[in-house]
Amino acid sequence: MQDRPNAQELLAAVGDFLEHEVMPGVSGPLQYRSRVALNLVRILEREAMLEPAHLARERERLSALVGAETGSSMHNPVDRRSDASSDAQSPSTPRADLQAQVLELNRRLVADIETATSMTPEREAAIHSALLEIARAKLAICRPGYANFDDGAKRNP
Amino acid sequence: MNPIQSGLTRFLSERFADRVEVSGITESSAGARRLNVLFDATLASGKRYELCATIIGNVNILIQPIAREAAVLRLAESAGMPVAHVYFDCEDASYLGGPFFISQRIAGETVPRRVLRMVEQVGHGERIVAQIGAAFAALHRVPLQHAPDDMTRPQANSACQQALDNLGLQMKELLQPSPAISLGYRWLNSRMPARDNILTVIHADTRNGNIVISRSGLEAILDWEGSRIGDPMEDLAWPCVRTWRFGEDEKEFGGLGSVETLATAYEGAGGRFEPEVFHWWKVLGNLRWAIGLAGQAHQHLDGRVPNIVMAASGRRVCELEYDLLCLLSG
Repeated sequence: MQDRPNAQELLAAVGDFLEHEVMPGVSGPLQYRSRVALNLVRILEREAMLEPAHLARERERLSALVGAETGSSMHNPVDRRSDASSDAQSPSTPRADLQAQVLELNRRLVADIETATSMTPEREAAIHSALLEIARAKLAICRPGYANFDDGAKRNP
Repeated sequence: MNPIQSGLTRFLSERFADRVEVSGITESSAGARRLNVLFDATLASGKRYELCATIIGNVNILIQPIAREAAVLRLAESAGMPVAHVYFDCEDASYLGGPFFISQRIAGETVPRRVLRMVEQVGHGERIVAQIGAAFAALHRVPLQHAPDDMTRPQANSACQQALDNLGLQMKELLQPSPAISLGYRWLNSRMPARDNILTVIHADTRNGNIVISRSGLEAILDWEGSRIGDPMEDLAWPCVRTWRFGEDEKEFGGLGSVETLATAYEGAGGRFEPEVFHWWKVLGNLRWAIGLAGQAHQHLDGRVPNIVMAASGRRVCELEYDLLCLLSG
């Protein structure tokens, strides 16, 4: 086990350093890039807190759409021969397992959307609703507040 | 004298057949692909020009030949669009290290957030949108036979099908599967505009960032490198993608003003606004930019363009997925 500060605390320290010590002292393109870096650190801080719950929920919603057995209770809903875990840090952790499963479920849903010759309005609505929830969850980490505006609202009040 | 100053001096002295002094050089790199050099040229006769040289540093990322871009700029100017007058274009890289053209320098603001700040102070956003609408109408009524012969045009003369085919190919390159993007593609494919193809010269990137704004309004439309033959509604819809509003979400056209203003001005100047086709192209624009952002992350990860801004683009894809899904509702 690593000593404190833990990952979350280190990210906060790096973020504060960028925000309070680097940003005020630089200008132009470097200031812009520093702001981008700060933004990425803040994303990682939120990701560390929120991502495990988001992944579980994404697995539940996608499983319901691609006909994998049942929802979140299933242990291993997907075929593990995929290379899904190749970009995870360690394939043996529960979180990497979950990531691999969600990636595979996304892959299956994409294949389904692309190959289905016809799609009932109900199914289209079910897919749409799940994807909207997933997109909102991603935004809660990457761009909080972005989902407060609905660009389709004016057209479809 | 630095290489750009000496190259400009040599080139302009030849073209003006006079001794030319180049001064006041400032580089303003508007985009990563091109270098813009602002400068003054004073002839021995005393005549003085305020100019801008647009230089292509890397011809491998050239979207269209500089001579053709210059030809389209001249065509747009003669059609009555506000653009920078082009004095010279040159493919010879010996002067400035790459092909370039030299145009009039337009005073005004181009940086999106500064544009929006000025618009907030002056309160002329809707007027600017109307000016852009009228400018689009002027461009779109140029007879196609006046366009450069070799201008990029859609295969089988279907701009919609071509755009969709291009996206289909790019989707195969995505780093990870995106059901939202696939759903958007399916939506577009099943709702292709039913009307006959309408093809005109289009600018294709008149977003906030490629327009010059002053306190009196629209000064010029910049960056014609992506101009081609296409569907006029594509031109109107692309600047309405939410990204180009820079936080002014309620003002659909570039954070400046409303689509109603755009459509009214476009029709007032002789264009025909088609709401359904416009919406189709707006969905397509969202999809295209979602894939574009994912592509930037890809270019960072595989080492082609390693930098933090490109890396961060990957985490903006979900913004476009969300907007796309909002547009597909109903």
